[in-house]
Amino acid sequence: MNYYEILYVVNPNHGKDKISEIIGEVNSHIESKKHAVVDHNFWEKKALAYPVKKQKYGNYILLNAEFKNSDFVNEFKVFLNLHAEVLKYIIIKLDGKPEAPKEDAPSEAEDKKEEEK
Amino acid sequence: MLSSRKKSCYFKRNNIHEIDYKDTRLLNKFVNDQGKITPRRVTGTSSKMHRKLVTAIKRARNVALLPFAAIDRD
Repeated sequence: MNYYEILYVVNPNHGKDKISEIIGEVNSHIESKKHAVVDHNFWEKKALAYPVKKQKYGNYILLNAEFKNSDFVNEFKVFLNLHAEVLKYIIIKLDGKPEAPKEDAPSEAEDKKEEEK
Repeated sequence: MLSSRKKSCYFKRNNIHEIDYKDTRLLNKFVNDQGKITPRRVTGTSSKMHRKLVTAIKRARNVALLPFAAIDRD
């Protein structure tokens, strides 16, 4: 049993309903193979650092999942590759059970410290 | 007067042990305007943390959080 972190980018030209539908599709694909979705987190629409499939923006979705066997990773990659709405994705194996998701805003205290130096 | 202030590792100073590729604000500090990774001799990061930093930056580039090459697109 391994924990994985999956970050995928979805087409920006969809409303919230369509996005939650896509999230549901991805999650149900994992669950249909008897693997578990630990947590999923939708970030707001963000500008991409470079255009991907002619899109300048993307909806980022962070997903934490538990796969029973590592063979499923390749299968899941094929699923994401074939999914028309997924622009980009990254799958990373975690060392242990993921902690509570952190907000996408690093602490300001760090920045202040750096400025003082 | 010659000042020979030794550079110190940013991560050691701030007690950071793991670098998250999603933390673009942190990673942007170690990337120049062109999007290139600043060398260790400039930033002073320890070799251990620099290795982690490099993988984090490369992962971020892969999902379009950071640019491979930043060119003005106007």
